[in-house]
Amino acid sequence: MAKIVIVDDSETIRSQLKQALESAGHTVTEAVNGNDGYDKIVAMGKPDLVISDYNMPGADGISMLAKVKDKLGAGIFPIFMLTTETSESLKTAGKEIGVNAWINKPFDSAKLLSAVTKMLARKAAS
Amino acid sequence: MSTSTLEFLETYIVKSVKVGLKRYGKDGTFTISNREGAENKSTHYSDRISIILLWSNIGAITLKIHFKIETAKKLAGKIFNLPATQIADEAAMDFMRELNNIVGGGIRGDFEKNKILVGMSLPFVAQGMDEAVFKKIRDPRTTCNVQKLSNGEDEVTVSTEIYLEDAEAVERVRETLQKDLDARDNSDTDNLGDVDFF
Repeated sequence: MAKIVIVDDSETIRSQLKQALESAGHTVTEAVNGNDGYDKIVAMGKPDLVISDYNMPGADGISMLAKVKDKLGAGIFPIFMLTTETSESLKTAGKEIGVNAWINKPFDSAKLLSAVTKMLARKAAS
Repeated sequence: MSTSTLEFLETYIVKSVKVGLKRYGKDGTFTISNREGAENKSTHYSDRISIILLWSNIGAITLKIHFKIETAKKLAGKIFNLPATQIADEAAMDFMRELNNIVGGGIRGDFEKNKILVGMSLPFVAQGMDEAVFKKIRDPRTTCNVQKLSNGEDEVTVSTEIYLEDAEAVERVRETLQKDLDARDNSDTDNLGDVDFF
């Protein structure tokens, strides 16, 4: 199963995500903000998927992922943004740094897991 | 300045909290008490407050959800299917912080759909005995409100302070704001977390 990094400053959201992803057999690494997310993703080198919030203390999700992209290169793992943000300009900024899907909070675990499965299959096929 | 515009916003915000409790907190049974404006002298005590600030070039909103930690534990327990006794204080406060984040995000999203850009703070929780008290309002562009949300067993108090510089801008989009919020309130949770693949 996949190694997935979740980056969110909300413990509640991280717990919900972890519960859902681990129930599907995935291994989850938690990061509590953008800076922690950068450190953990870079340390891991190549996670199978990153799920990140946008609004967090320190670095926001897109800035953090842009920094990761500079360090590790683009397109080496899929990225989901999980956020209350709905702004089209942010979605465009996300696309530019390689975000593959945008999910608005609150999320539905079954839909999220289905999207994860779909994305991992797409990644495996490529 | 139309008072009804400010009252519309107060009602819209309180209802947004109700919708947040339904969609994120998985409890659709909350009902909203009557409005108590700042002129009302009654006080509302709680031991914690979840706070979020929203602002734009047409005005600003301070939204506070006052709660007791026991209530927050019960509400957080619902989303994890756990009894309140198994929810730590920090987890309960985090739930209330995220609730306000989701409510604020929904409000901002509704305005942005109508081309009104809104800034939003990170949510934060203040601890300590709190009383919802407002300064005497002299500026007709500002209003304060307190309303309770109750599910029969537990209640939270929502207090808002709204400063509105451009009431006409809100009036132009009022119908759409109301329609979008009603749609979220009336829909079941099937459209929760729809995934937008790029």
